Order: sequence, then C-alpha cells, then structure tokens
Amino acid sequence: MPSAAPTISPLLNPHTLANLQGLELRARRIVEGYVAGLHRSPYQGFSNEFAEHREYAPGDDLRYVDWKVFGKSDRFYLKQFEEETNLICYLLLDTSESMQYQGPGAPLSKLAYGQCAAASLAYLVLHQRDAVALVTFDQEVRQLIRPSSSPTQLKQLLRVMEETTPARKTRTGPIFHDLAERFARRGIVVIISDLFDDVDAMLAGLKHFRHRRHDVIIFHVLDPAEIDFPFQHVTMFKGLEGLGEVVTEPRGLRAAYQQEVQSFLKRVRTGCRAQQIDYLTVRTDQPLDTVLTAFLSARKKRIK
Amino acid sequence: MQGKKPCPLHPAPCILRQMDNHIYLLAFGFTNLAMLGWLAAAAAPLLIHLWSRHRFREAPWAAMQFLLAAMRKNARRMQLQQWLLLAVRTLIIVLVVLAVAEPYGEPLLAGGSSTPTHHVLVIDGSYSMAYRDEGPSRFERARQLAAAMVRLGRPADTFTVILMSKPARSILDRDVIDHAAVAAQIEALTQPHSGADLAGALTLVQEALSAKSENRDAPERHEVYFFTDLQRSTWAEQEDKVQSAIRNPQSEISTHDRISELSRRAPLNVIDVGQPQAANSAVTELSSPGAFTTVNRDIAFELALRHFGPDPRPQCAVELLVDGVPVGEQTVDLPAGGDAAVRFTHRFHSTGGHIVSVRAAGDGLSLDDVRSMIVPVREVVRVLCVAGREGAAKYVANALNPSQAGDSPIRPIVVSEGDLAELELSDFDCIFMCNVAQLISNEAERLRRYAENGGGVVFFLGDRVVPESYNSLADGDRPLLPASLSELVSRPQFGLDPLGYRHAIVAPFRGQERAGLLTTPVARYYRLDVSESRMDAQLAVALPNGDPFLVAAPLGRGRIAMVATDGSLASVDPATGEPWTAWPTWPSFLPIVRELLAYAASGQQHQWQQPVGTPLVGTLPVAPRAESPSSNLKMMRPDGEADAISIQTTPAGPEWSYAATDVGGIYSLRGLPGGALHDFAVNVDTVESDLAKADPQELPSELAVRDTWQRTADDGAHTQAAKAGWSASLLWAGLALLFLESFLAWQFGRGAI
Repeated sequence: MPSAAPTISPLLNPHTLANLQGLELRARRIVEGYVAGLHRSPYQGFSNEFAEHREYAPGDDLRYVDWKVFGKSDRFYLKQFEEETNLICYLLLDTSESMQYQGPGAPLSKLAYGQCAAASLAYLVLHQRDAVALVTFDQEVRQLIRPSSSPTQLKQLLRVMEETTPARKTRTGPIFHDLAERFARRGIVVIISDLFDDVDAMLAGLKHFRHRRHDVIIFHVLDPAEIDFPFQHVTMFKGLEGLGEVVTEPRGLRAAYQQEVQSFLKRVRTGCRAQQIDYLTVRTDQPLDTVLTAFLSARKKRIK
Repeated sequence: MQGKKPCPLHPAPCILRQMDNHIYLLAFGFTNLAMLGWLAAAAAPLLIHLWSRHRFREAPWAAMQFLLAAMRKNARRMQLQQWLLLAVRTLIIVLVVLAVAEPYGEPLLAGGSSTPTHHVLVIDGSYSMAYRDEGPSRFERARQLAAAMVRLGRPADTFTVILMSKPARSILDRDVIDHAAVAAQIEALTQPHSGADLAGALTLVQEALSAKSENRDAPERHEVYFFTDLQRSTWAEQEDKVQSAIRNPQSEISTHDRISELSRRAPLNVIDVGQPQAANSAVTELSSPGAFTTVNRDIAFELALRHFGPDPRPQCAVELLVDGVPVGEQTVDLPAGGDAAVRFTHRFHSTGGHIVSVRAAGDGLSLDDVRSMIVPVREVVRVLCVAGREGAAKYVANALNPSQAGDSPIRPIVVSEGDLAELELSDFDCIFMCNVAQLISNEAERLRRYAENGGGVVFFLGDRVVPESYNSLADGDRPLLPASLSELVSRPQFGLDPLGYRHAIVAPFRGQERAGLLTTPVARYYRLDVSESRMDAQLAVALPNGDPFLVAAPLGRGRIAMVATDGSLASVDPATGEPWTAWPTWPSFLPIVRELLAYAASGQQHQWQQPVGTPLVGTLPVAPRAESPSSNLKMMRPDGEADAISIQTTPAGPEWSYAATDVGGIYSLRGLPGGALHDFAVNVDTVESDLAKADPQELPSELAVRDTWQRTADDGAHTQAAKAGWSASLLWAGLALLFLESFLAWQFGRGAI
C-alpha cells in the first residue's frame, strides 16, 4: 500500500474546505481527493471471497484485473473481494471549549478541523468495510457511538459531530481510563484533541489504552496562532475554559510563550514515543492528507 | 554678549559648592528659558505607554496556561525592560530640550576662607528689583542667592541680613545661628515698593560690623555682600552727603568715604542681579487740571508717561479706570528716553471719593505702570467767605459765582466774622477771609487745623485788620500766616509784577497780557514781611516797587494765601477818600480769585495721592464720651492685609496716623464714625523707574562687582563657546541614547510601546 501522496489535491486544503458546507461533503471530498492522488487504490480487500467487479481506474493494482472479463468485453475490470477484517477504529474527538478557538490566520477552528479529520477517517474506514466508533468528550464522555461497519454508521457519526456544542473543560486522563475499560475489542484508537490538559494524567490514560493492546494515534490539533503567537499589539487575552483574562504586550512575551509551548509539545511527544504511540502535531492550516496518510500508515502496520 | 542681541540671558538658579574650604557660588541658567516649557513633553513616552495600555484589542485564547506561565516567569524582566525603555525615551526628550534651551553655567563668586566668617548680606529692596524678564524677578533672584549662600555656609558662620529699602532696615542680626531659619527668613522677604536707602544700609552694615556678638565663639572675620541691580539712581547719583540721621546726626561723610571705611574692615562684594539695558515705561504723573471736580461735568485727567530705554516704544496702550472699571483707552508712542502726555475726560455721576487710575500696557516692571488718585466729587464747591465788614466779601463772592446761578459749580457762602465760630469748617473746600479784623486764638487754631488737614485759606487785608493780631499768627511753631504785616503803605501804583508767571496762581496769565494783571491799580496796602525762616513761603506776585503783593505757602497738607490789599472797595484811604484799590472792578480780579481758589483747595486732592513711604494722617471728630472714639479703626492695605491704626490725642483733638505705606495701591480707612470709607492712593516714586545701571567706573573701586550680564568681548565669546559646547554635548548624548533606544527596543522584541 502506498504511504504518501505525490500531489496534494486542492480539496485537501483547509482553505478550500472552509468554503464547503456539510461535514459529509467535506469528508467525501477529502477522501476522494486523497485517493485520487495515490498511486495505488486503497479500495482493495483482504479476503479471497469475490464480491463484485469494478471498472479499472488509473493506479489500480494490475494483479486484480479480471482478464477473463477483459477477454469478453475488451474492457478492464477489477475483481472486488469481500473484505474480512477485524479492524475497529475508535475515533475520540475532543469537543472541549478550547477546541473552539480559531486564530486570525486559520481557515477553520480546531474543532472544525478535527471534525473534518474524524469524518474523513470514518468515511475511509467504512468504505473499507471496517468498523468505526466515535466518542466525543470534554471533561466527560458526551457521546459514544458503538463500532459498526454499517453504511448508515457514517450518517450517524456525522450527525453526532455536527450537533456537538463545545462548552466545557478538557479532562483527558480519567476519560481515557474509562474508555480503555469500555473498548472491549482491540482496535485503532484515534485521538483528535489539542491536549490542553495535565500531561501526566493524559499520558497515564494513554498508557491504559496501550495496556489493553490498542494501537493509538494522536492527532494533536493546534491552531497556527497557538504555535507562532503572531500578535503585535497590546491584547487582552480572554481565556477559554474559564482561565480568566490577561492584558499583555505579546511581542515581548512571544519567545517565552513559544518556549512554554514547545516544552509542552516535547513532553507529549516524548511520552507518546515511550509508549509507542503514533503522535502527530497538526496545524489547522495544514492539508488533511497528513492525517489520512498517518492513519493509513498505522493501519497498514496493524494489518501486517 | 557680543554678536547677539543684548540680554538674552535670564536670571537663573544658583548653587553653592563647598570645595577645598572655599565657597563657590555658581550661576547657571538657560538662554532660551521659554524652551524649557517643552520639558513637559518628556511625559509623552509615559503617557503614550499608559494610553496604549488602555487601548488594547481583545482576543479569545485557548492556550492560556502557557501564556500565564510565560508571564509568571517573565513579569519582572518585562517590567524592567519597559521602565528602561521609558527612561531612555524620556531622557532623550529632556536632553534635546535642554540642548535647545542653551544652558550655561559660570562661577559668580569664588571666595571665602577656611576660617569661620560673619557674612553681612544686603539685599536691595528698591522696587526696580521687581523687574522681571521671563523667569524670577531681580528681587527673587537676590533672595534665592542669599538663601543659598546661607544654607551652604559653614556651621560656624554667622549672618546678618539687611534689606536696603527706604528706609533700610535690619532683618536679622548675627546671633541667629540656625542657618535654615536665616534662609527661611530671607526667602520670606517681600518686595517693598519704595526706593533704596544706600546711606542707611551702609550705616546698618557699619553697625553690624561693629556689634559684639553674644556668642564668644563668634567669628571675627567679616564679609559683606550686596545683592543689587546696581541701579544708577541708587549707586551713582549719591552726590549728597550721607548722614546717619538717627545715630550720629552731626557726622556727614560721602558714600564713597563710607564705602572706603567699610572696605578696611571687610571685603565688599557686589552680586549684580540686574539685566543690562533693561527698558521700562512708567506713568510718572496723574493729575486733574481743573480745580474742582463736580458731578455731571466733563473732568479732564492728564497723565505723563516716560519711557526709559534706548529704543522708542510705539503704540503703548493706556487705560483710564474709575473705581476699577475701564472707561477709556488710548495709545501713545513713547520716544526713546522721553515723555508723552495723554489726556482723558470723564464725567462723574455720583458724589464722593472715586478711585481714578491709569494703567499703561505692561512691561518688565509693572509697579510703575499704574498710578491712582482719589478724586473727591462734589455736588458743588462750597466756599466760605468771611466778611470783616459789610460788603467786604461781596466782590469775592461775585467773582466766584458771577451769575448768582443756582447750578453754578461754585457756591460761595458769605458770613460775618462773628459767625465763624459757629460753622463746621470741614464742610467747606476753601475759606476767604475778607478784611477780618482779628482772629481769636480758638478761631486761629480751628483755621490752622483746617488748613493742616488739606483746607485752603485766603486772606484779603483791609482797613479793619489789626496788624498785631495777624502778626501773632505769623509766629510760633505752626504759623498760620506766611508773612507778617509791616507798615501800611499809601502809594498809588498801576500794574503788578507776575515774577515771570512762575507761581501756579498767575501761571494762567502767561501770554494774556491784556487780561489786566499788568495794569491792576493798587493805592494802599500792607507791606508783607516774609521771614527768612519761612523757606516754604513763595512770593507769587509783587508790586512794581518790589513789595510783596501775594504770598502763598503750604501749611500741613493745606494752602494759605495772603493778599496785601483789600478784596473789595470798602476800605477807603482816609487821606484821599479813595478805595485802597480798584482791583475788584478790574478784569484781573475774577481770574485771580478763581486761581486763588484752585490753589488753596488743591491740598484737598493732594492729601489723597501720596508717594510710597509717606505716612497717612487725619483727624477724627472729638469723642463726646471718655472712651476712644474710633478704637475699631483699621487700614485695609492693597495687599489685602488689615492693620490697626494708632490714634494720638492732640490739643486740637484726636488724630490718627498710619506709617506702613510700603506698597503702592489703594489704602482704605475703615471704622470711621457713620461707617464712612476713606480711600488713599499711594503711588511709587518713579525715580526708581529708570533701570539704567551705574557705570562700573563710577563705582568705588573697593566694591568687587561680579555679575552675569556685563562682560568683556572675550568673556562673551568664551560664554558663547561654552554654551555651544554644552548644547552640542547634550545633543550628542541624546543621539547616543536614540541609538541605544533602537537597540534596546529591538533586543526586547518591540519596536514601540
């Protein structure tokens, strides 16, 4: 399976996505845009039970061309097989108030970006006949949709995500512990969050997932402004999640702030690496192919 | 200053430094003092900083925990950086402003010794010291210098402080050892409005040098410092002898001799606080040419202005104020060093005393820009004509009111000499005694008191006059009459000698030879003898043979005039059967009587316009009871203070006096019976208005003059170069700070606050 896209479709650009209405539309465009750029199609099954034919498309694996049909109809068709998979993808989407932040240069809020990523992954997983589950959480679990590979699962997931209203603080540690106990079957746990919480407690929660032998991928979603701190003028920063407000001159504080952020990222990254957790920092102005590529890479690793 | 308009410098603060057992008195200041106002701009960086702190943007923020942590760790550093930047920016502005103001500094005086010294500080208190040309006045600067010298004196030093006003007075003697108290006393000195009594000040200096201190450890070494503007009228025009009138009336020595004598006992230093070539204008005179002021008539006021300065002063505005309300304004061109006259007219509509002031446009010395007078406005002028016989006052009364009209401003009242004792004389503005035989002592005393309080009395003689009685009034300590009567002369003569029209009574006849004065017939008269001791008596008119005809003299604040012959046709020469004189029918009689009235009554106004330093005196009605009639009398001063009035009982009745007329302005007497007010205008003596400085060559060589205003060309060039050096250094420092500010702002991560 290919692991990188040679070109990036404009549909993966967050600025383009920001002009699209509806999470389903966004998810379909993301996945199709991503797939169109792959050298090989990811729509291939992993069982030997034939399911149907599909017309050849550039990039498809020639091993699955049905030459008999070609001989009869002079057209290329691919043989599709019933997939037999035991893959379950748990999508954990942070819906706390801090995810609502959208910086001055960002096309989407962190939550919107995370929703797009989650929807795209769900779309991709479901099209590969795998099961997908969704958990939205802030300081407690808000919604939990059990894993299913049913075609209707996607609509349900999208509806839940679209109806999400961020309002509360993040409390990842206890929630991860709780979910680790709830997820009975092993799977890929995809966490989409800004992780603005106690790092030690969060890492303890992640450790619990690993203890239950889940594969964990963390998409650490951050707004560009939260990394670059581009403010020039005296600003009153009104803290989300009830952290008060403060007036300061950002230019004099930029270096110190960036040092604090990098220190935080380093702690998280180091903690994840220690637990063999795939960790990826995602800026909301980045194309979404990085998310899909990272996911597919993890999935491939698991299938092997 | 060479190559620059004179007097750009301004009085400046001074400092004293004590180094190497020597006292260095330093003067520093700024050429462009007004530029220092821009120092307020130094607050701009701080204000901009505070303003920007209150004009912030708002932004929601998710990563608050990192921001708070960064702020917690860097709060002190950021605050220090902010204050450092603000300090640098403020200093840049301060340095640039100081450079533009062109600072200068130089030693005023370097003297003293390691031994304790008794310093005699003489501060010029004449009103020319009130001159200011942006910045403190000369007096304030002198005060500042003297106080600084006291504050930084050695602990064992002692100080005597003398104020050279008129009269000079000692402020502190050397036994006050608390330097802070001495300095505070000096700083509390107020500017007098009088002249400078150099002779009196020198006497006080001599006494201070001679006085033995109560403190046995008091220093024996003395130094004298004069803080003065070196005005010519004070220092160079002392041609008269100096007399220490009180302590040694017999000794008469010159100012130069006195200074030489003092210099043998102590070094004499003069600290010049006056600016060179300072110009000034003054109102030197305010008067009303009319004899009397009555309601609803146009009254003229004449004032004279003098400009003391090398350049003319065009378009000087002059304002006339009545009771504080402006009623007229004119502009006048003042020639360089010359006079100009201005005439106003005003019509009063109410009786009583009115304050009439003129105010010239302000200059550096404002005290002499205002001059005031109190104008008593009457319904009519009441003149008492006392007839010694029937018809004796007829012609005088007719001359005063020829038409007998009721609306005449002059209202003569004719009484017989017997009625004189019954009348209240103060109800009249002038009294004509016409051929009154004699005056008993009580009547004479009443007339004397009347005249001393500003009243005017005119005596016409005649055949009823008893010479012995009159001559007794011409003798004594307070002679009522200016001349005694000698023999009776019968000698027909035509014509009077006006003696060059010098006297005010006949001055209007100048150029009016056909008015009859020169042909006035006089056949019989008393020869008047003016005693040589009567220096104040003036011969106004003489007969062709030289005998006095009209003699006038002041008495107190009033005027007395005496005519050698009769003022009527009633006195007849028994030898010829002809009247003593046909003058009452002559054309010159009416104007002479009018002028006699004007002269005699002028004291009524004069007493209400007096120079600074002249005591104010007046009489009070005799109290009907034993207690003091006016124990509540007080004087409201122009500076707002209220002073008690001293009352003395004289044989003629109670008399009040007030001597502390040390400032110019309007003084109001309160507490008079009936609640009446009595105002007095006190004006400065314009001798002090000429700010010309004494030529150093005219000053005694014993005086070591040190000033910041007059210097040689080399000194001027040196000072200019020094000033340029200071300014350039400040600008370079400002430029360096500008680069430093840019670097710091870049280093701290901000370009501007």
